[in-house]
Amino acid sequence: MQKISSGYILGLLFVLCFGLACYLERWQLTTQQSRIATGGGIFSAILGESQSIISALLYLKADVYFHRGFYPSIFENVSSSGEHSHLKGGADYAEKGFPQNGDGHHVANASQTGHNHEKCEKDVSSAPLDWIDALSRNFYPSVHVHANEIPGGQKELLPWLKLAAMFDPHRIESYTVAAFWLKSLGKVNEAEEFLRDGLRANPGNPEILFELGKIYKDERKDVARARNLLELALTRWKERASNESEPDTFLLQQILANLAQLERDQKNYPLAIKYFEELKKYSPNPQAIQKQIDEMKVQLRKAG
Amino acid sequence: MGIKLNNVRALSRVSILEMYRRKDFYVVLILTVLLTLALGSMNFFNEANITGYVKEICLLLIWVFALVIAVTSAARQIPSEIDSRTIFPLLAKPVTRSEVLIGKALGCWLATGAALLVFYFIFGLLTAAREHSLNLPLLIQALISHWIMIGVVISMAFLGSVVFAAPSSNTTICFVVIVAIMILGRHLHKLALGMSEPMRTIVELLYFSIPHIELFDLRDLLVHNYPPAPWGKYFVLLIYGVAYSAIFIGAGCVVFNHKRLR
Repeated sequence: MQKISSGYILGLLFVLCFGLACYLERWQLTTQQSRIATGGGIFSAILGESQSIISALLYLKADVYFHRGFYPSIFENVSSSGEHSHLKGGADYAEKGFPQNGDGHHVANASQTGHNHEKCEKDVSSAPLDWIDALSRNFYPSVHVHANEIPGGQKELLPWLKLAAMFDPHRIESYTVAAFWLKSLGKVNEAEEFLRDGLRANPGNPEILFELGKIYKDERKDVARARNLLELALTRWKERASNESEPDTFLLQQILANLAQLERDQKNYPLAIKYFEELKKYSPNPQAIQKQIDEMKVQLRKAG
Repeated sequence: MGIKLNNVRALSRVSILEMYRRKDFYVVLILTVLLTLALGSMNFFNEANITGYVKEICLLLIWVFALVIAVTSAARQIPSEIDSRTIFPLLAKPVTRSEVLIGKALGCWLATGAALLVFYFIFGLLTAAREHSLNLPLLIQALISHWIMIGVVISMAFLGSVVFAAPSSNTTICFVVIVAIMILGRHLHKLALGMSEPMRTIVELLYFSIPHIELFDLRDLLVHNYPPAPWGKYFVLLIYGVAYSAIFIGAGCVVFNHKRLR
């Protein structure tokens, strides 16, 4: 058998390495493109579809922390009367013009409505069924206190919300709720940064654009940017609503209300009236809005 | 049929030494510390002193690892003596079968208790370092109740080890039962109320007969910084746990005394 020179072996190895490098380069490009398309990272590669379930659980954990561990299980929800059930809370908010986010998550309601204790759907107060039940209530949180009722309690929610966003970058509530609590802690820069992360993962999302707009309007007092962001949120909402059978009108109300307030504060009454008129169609309290419109019309007449 | 405490003490010492010669505890301890420190070093929105998630995950690791150590070590004690036939020279000495079982169970319980002490000490250090405060009475309550719960689990595993043929089946059954009680135990009565007869009575009987090991779980109180549980109720809980341990060990002794050893 003819002896193969070391030069041939080196040449063969070089060709093999070159071929492998070309293959890996192509594979890396494809992976990056799919990552951009799905918005996922290492979690999506490892966990696949289950990452959204994990994200939902982490988001629920944030809700548990909001209630400081006082969290009725599904068994309490089933056995308790409808008046206090978990999902009923969401419906109550909807009836009063508050958002119903489908899953009844309280932490989101809190961020959007200024959640107070009196209305909490977690107030499951039933008498102990037996001595074991009575004894057990001493060893788990059986007194209902909210995280925002103790100093700095809100910050304990934040890791779970960030982890929920890491596992599922398309869960919008993770960004908006975290931004709400960050603002309440005075961390406006962090709130904006996190919302921008959310916007990168969900380009043009009206909820995130609205929250960003609110930061510029309420925290930074940057009227021009706030107006641009809120108007963009409104445009994106309308685009999205055209494809939905039941669009989220609560978000529309919030966008319109903030735009109207912004224009009213800038004494741009015709535009403010236009937004208030649109808001009146969806508002549960159109009389109050009409009153504001009338006041602005008087101001306009005075200005002549 | 009396129990000689000296024999029980000697057997438990052997059991403790055997457990500490194995490296399980050191591995899980290092793993817990590393995982907790890695989690604790994560930055969430430049917000310092967020402790809830670190405490929660550290306690979860402590619970899982303590259960794994307790069940796996308790389940193999008697079967390994029978398989290696060292049970015969042991029983040839002036030692009864009940003393062997109680001594070994006590050894497992004490060894796991020492491991728990180290785990909770590290947890306490971590909490104090991050929160700059420590709810010591609650930490002590959580440690002791956890230890008593481990006692129930160990005695359950010892009963299983003289009933079931192989340690693997015993371990699996024990884990399934423990997880089921931890998840469903508290809610069985509520579920029973929604059922029709005879299932309702069966589920109610089950509810009142199972050891409610979920009662010993004080993690939520620790994580969310609640005050300690009322001491009077707490002592009732400890007595409840000790009573169940005694029932399982007693049943284990009865079965072991009637078991044919080959």
